Amino acid sequence: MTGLLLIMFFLSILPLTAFGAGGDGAGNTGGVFKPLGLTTATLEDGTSIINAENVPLKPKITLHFDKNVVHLSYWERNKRCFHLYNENEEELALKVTKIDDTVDFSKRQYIWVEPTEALFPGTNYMLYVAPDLLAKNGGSTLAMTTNNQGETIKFKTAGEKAGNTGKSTGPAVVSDNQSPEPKPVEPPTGDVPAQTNTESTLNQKNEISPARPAVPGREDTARFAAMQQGRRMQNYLAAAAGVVLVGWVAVEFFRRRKRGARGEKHDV
Amino acid sequence: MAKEDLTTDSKPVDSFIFNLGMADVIRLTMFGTLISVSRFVFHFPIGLPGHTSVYWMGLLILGKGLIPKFGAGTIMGIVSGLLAVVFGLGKEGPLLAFKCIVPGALLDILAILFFKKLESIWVGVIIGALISWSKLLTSIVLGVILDIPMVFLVMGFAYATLLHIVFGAAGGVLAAILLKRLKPRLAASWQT
Amino acid sequence: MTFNRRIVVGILVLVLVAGGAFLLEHMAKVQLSRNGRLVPVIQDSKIIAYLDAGTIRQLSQQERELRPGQDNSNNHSEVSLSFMLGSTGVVDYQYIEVSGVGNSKDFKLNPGDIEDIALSASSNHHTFALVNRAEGNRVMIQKVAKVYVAN
Repeated sequence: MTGLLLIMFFLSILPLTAFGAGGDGAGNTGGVFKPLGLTTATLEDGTSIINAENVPLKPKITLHFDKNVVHLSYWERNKRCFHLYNENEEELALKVTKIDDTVDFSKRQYIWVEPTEALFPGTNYMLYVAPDLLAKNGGSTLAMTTNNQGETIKFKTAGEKAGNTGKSTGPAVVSDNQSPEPKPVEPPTGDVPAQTNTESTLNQKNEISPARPAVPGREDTARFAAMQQGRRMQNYLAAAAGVVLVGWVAVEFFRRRKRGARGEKHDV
Repeated sequence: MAKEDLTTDSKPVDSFIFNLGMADVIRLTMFGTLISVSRFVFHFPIGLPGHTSVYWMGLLILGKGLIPKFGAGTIMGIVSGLLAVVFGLGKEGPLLAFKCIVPGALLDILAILFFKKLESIWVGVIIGALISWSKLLTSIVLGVILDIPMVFLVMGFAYATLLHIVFGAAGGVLAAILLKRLKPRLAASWQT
Repeated sequence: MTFNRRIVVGILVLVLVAGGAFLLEHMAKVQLSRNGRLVPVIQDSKIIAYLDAGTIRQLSQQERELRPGQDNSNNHSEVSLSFMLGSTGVVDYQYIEVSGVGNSKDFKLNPGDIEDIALSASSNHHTFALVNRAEGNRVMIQKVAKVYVAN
């Protein structure tokens, strides 16, 4: 009896101990959330755009995530996470749209991305989704599934490359509308796509300087490391729970076998 | 406390909680753990609300069917709720536990109403759907408590209800099928 | 009651729950829209989002995070009209028409006019008002009922 009580105590206390040690459980203000990931990136005909060739010059890309990414509260933040770059790492204007989840709940995981101007034929492009993309729960970010790097989708447009390939077809802005007065930004340096914190709308007051950059900064890296530690702790916990469950099945199995053997002995 | 001979199966087990023996409570704890671990491990990217009900409600009904005593559902709910809070499976914080406890407690009540015949497919459909819906209702109540805007609670409620019912019913059917096969095998050793 | 009868009752309850949920959602939309507790944002004759006082408070918080140093830095229940439009997914428009509950006056706002216009959630009535920040938060519409976006 005492042994069983100890097992019960252990089963109840083990998760709490791990929770305390991890220091990143749901008890703190941030909580620990399931990761947010990109499920598919497709063209209008349903074919994947990831590493695709012969992509139309005015593609409407449907990005399907595994969580609600269109939530009203985070849309202003989220629409800034999408950037399109050409071969020369120049950023092109994008139109980022959604269907609000208060209107059509079934479209809450979809974001549509479209270049505002036609792309050049036979040219390589890169669609970058920043790791800051945030789900409705306010905690799941794309950083969790992309090692804090964000999602990079490369594709090549259809047709033959012309002489002035790689030239920017549009202004280097991230916009969710057809901008009448686009604003250029500096081309990115290094491998990581540059941050764009301008938005052009008819109302210039709508410009927003995001609190956090699109590319991972030092603060993000620290946050990501803390989150990873929390998730590691959770995984250990899940593994421990799994071992206990397997042990239970084994005990039940051997108990049954033992009883079966005892029954046979009695029959003899 | 009197010493108990755990090796003697013929002897009735002393009641520990809800008239349940220690062995049953441990088994229910395991089922509760299984529910939370399955929710933590399985991430189906199907994008439909309530799809976790298939295994969540399925396991709840399976556990209740194998240990058909009052309080079995509640215990599984408490354990899975405690672990869900620990795993951080939502943003409700400690209140998240209620999302697991309410379906478990409701399962205890509904099982009585259906004469504990959980191995019946129709009973599986009804109970699975209703306890799955109770989870949704609890989420909405928690939303009100946590001051989530009304618009997010009202919009999509019907769609979420329908899917919770469908997935809950599916879980109930699976549990009923499993119960039909498992119950005769485990009856001798588990029904103490 | 026999077992079979209980099954039939159970199935009926499920049908009622599913049907009732659709009815409840529809009724809630109609009723809450009527008294300004649920405000549709309409573009191209289609509702593109719904708002309520709670979402205004959430948006206010987001705006303070994204636009530090804005007018609403001390007001936790006020969001600029432009930020609200951006959040609902409005990308291009000619003018905005905001109407209130009952016989209140409608306001037609051009893109250049909305700079100082904000939405302010009331703490008591679960509704929100249209205010002009430039005029010391003068209330233009006490209870907003509809936001129409013209392309």
